[in-house]
Amino acid sequence: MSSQADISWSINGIPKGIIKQSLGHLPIMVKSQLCNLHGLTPRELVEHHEEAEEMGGYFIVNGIEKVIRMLIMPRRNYPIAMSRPKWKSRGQGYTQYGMAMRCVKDDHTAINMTLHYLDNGTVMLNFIYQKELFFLPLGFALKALVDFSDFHIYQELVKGREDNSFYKKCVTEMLRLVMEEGCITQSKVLNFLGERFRVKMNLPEWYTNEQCAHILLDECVCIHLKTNVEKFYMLCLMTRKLFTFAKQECMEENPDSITFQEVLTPGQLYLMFLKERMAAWLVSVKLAFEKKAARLNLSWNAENVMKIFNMGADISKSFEYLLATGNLSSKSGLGMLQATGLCVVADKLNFIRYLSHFRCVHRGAAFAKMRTTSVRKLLPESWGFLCPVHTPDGEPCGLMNHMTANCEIVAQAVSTTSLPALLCSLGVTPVDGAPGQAYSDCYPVLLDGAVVGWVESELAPAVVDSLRRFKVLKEKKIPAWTEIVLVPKTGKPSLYPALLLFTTPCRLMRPVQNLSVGRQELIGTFEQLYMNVGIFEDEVTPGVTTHQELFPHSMLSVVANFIPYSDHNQSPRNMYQCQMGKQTMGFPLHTFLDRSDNKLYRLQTPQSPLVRPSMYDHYDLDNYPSGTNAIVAVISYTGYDMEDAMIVNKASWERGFAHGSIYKTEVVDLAERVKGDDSVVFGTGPGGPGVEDKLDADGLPHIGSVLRHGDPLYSYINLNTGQSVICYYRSQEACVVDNIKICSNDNGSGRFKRVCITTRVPRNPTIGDKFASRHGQKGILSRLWPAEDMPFTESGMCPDILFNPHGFPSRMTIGMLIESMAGKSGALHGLSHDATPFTFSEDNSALEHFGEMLRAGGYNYYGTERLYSGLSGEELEADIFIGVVYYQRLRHMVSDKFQVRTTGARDKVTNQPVGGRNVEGGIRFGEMERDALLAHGSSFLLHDRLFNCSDRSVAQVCVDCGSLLSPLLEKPPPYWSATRHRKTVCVLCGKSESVASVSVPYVFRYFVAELAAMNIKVKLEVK
Amino acid sequence: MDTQKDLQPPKQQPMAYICGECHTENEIKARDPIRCRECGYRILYKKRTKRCILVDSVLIYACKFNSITLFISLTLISVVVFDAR
Repeated sequence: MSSQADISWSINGIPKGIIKQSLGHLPIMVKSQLCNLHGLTPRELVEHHEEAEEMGGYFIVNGIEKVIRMLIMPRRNYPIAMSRPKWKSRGQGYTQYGMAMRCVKDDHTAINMTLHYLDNGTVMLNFIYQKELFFLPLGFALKALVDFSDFHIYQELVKGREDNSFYKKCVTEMLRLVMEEGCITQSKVLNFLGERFRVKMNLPEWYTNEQCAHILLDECVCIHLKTNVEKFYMLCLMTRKLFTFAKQECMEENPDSITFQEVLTPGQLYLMFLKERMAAWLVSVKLAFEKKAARLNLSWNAENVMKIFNMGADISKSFEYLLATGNLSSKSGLGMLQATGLCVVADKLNFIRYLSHFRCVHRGAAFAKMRTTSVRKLLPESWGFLCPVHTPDGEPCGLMNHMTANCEIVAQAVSTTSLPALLCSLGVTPVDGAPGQAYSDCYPVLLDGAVVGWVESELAPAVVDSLRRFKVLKEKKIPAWTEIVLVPKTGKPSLYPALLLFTTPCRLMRPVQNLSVGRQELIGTFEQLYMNVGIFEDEVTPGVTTHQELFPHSMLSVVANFIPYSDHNQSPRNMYQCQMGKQTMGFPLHTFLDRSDNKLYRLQTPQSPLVRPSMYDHYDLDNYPSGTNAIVAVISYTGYDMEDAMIVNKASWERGFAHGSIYKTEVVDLAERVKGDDSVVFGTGPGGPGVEDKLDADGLPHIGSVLRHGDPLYSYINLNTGQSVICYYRSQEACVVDNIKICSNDNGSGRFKRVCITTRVPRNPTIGDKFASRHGQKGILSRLWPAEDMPFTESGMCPDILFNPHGFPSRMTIGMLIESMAGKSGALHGLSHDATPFTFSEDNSALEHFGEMLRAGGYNYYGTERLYSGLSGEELEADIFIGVVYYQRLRHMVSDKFQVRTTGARDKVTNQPVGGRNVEGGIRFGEMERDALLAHGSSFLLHDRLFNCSDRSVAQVCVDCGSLLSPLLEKPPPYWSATRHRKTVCVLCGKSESVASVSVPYVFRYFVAELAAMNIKVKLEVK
Repeated sequence: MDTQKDLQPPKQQPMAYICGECHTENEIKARDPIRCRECGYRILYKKRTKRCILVDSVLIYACKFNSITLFISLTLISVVVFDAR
């Protein structure tokens, strides 16, 4: 999209009209309101060569789909009580106690503000202005904000803590400090502040000190609030909370808990970045104006102004850079902890992986380096919001989380202007009024980080109840995504009591059933703490339980929901499956012919699973299946199934079991390759032998032809010179040319310059390919076993896969056993079984259910059968557990990984074999391997590995002077000379008798030469 | 330079490409703009080759003749195979 700005301009206050100025192009999120695909029906989408169920939500940059990651942020506009030992080092008297608040304006500009508690009982306000940290005594801030009398301010500060003499002393002390500076009135305080801060503010000199101070307050103090009076009340509340916290009368709030967190959404980041880029544009235009004005006294007409506008910085580049690399190139940093890794590629490996990109929430890269593990902990607060199962193990464990299937993020923002009036009608006393009871018996009422009043303790639950009723029934303009939190007084140091209302976007919310109203209600992360939500029907206690979960499995993420009978598995296995589900080869999309992704995996014969959880159908995953139903016998057969290996029936393989292929696309743009020459076109020249045969007249390979290493891939020709260039297929793997797209440009004037060659690499299962069931049971294909040698059942059926029984006892994936039985009974009766977790229990056991079903089908109750050995034909003594399990083929294939070398490339400098698979290098025989051989005393092997097979070379050394460098080969004898023999002579000793040949590593000679360059002589003692 | 100019200009026979939108065939030469004549779509697909693509090198050699002589070439192959045995 192109972005345009309407700029109205004026000279000395006389308006001169409006100039429309283009600022550049902005990438648009797919399926957003500005996208061409917005609101299209599935049929229309298919007509436009898109997926029928296109979800959008990503950006397309350079043809790659990019997702802006969701990042965890502190909850906006809520003061979080924190204690950080690090704060003690901020200055004299600072303690670890503080009150941090992330203030976010409506336009998503964010700023962090902290109140520090000092051990002399005063409070410091800390804020960041233009990347610099400033500290301001609280008294100054309060007096600068409002024109209240000191007594009034004192009264406001001590509300609710009137009987605390220490606190009252501290407050008077703080106000006295301001007085000592001679700041008696608000204007004097403003003047005082402006005078000190204007140095840092770069404001024109015609601004008065007071104006400077006002700007400072507007930009740095409680920026989420509009008026200074509101800011004043908020600061007072924060001060009261800080003192309560510092005296340990209320609990610390954990910033790692989801309760005090929200999410940075892509739109928010986009908006912030756009704002900053536009500010940068304004600065660049300002510079241009100053430059022009200084050089020549132009007449300021619209034309000249437009010319200068055109010199402003283009914003499209920076956006493309942000999306393409995920790096934030920003001067201010936008108040974010990280500047890299903000975007990820929406990988279309399979649908599950694709989906999970959009459900992923990251804690932030800054936390990955932290030594402590507290950030990674799974806290009970995140129940129902973050999936406990779906997090990777290893480095990003606990930092990269996934939202539960039901969880959503508030995107809309509505005006809350009608809310304070509604609250008053419910019995809330406005901030400036006096409640019926003492302040200590009241809760402060906060709406989106603004103090709106006080409510008496007895009245508060009723207020909350009616508010919640309005919210659920969508009455009185209360948005459905409001969070209503009553933090109660407990008499113990618990969270700071208040009645909090949040309507702001970016919060996590999830639906639960409101039992009193009988409707669904969205609840937030903070709200949830003070709610009684039952899971099952029998858990509901009347009068206590107010809400019920929609499903027992609503605590799981989308991916974890796809695990059948996951409640029967050991929990780490479910975690592994969440990882492996995202690595399976499947059927990622329906538009293979229209896509030009660099690499796409495709399973040729995917199937719908016989046993599936309800969420599988909810997400219509049958459109994008990713596995095959296989007959699995749990048997230790030939020994080829040791250690997680599995045997596959060769006949099944021949029938197409788990066959797959990789689509690789190469884009060739001649306009880019040969710049500026329009006469370069695709075509074949006279060419070498075999080229005419392999390429068409248009210089492109035949569709459907097989390409092998070294075959010509395409050729282009310069029509003026007749010179032709042939490019060859460089991969070792043979492929088939699947399709070739000839692309024009956006305005349709593009010539035959750009083509996309899509090749298909067949990847049918081979020994070493990785497979997994849906229960974290991965294995390597170790052998394609002939069908005639496979064990068979009484009915003569051969299993597709032999799975080693040793895989079960330690891993305890009972879910797989149940799936096997369920699959078998489903196949027998022609059913597809529901495998939703938490449907079976101890009393209603799955074994019983499926056992009976198997028995009804004429099979053994326990899913076992008599098997006969395929080799001898004898009946096997043990009953073999055999059933149907859905197997996934993982993308890790030996063809991508094998590395082999006999001879090949060597390093230019050291003459040692190079490393790396793609250059046909070797595998390093490193120090530890060397140690192993040394320990074995196998010196010949060691010598062979490290010397003969590495960089052995024969060098000449002078025995007398011991130099490797001095022996030189003589000049060749003249042509008439009878001697053809050339001697090697030591230049230093001047004789050839002392020169001997030794074999040394080539690097050693290089090393000696390097040392010589540093004036260090190396002398060898040759004996 | 002269010798290069003397090279005969490469033959420019048009080839047919299929429109990605309306599936009509478009004859496109090397320097033509890429645009479907019927619907103006800007992505064209190369047609699948009519040549026989077989893996065996003997077969590929035999198939060098065009499809009209395919029958003859097939008989040829059988001879070759017989010979080899």
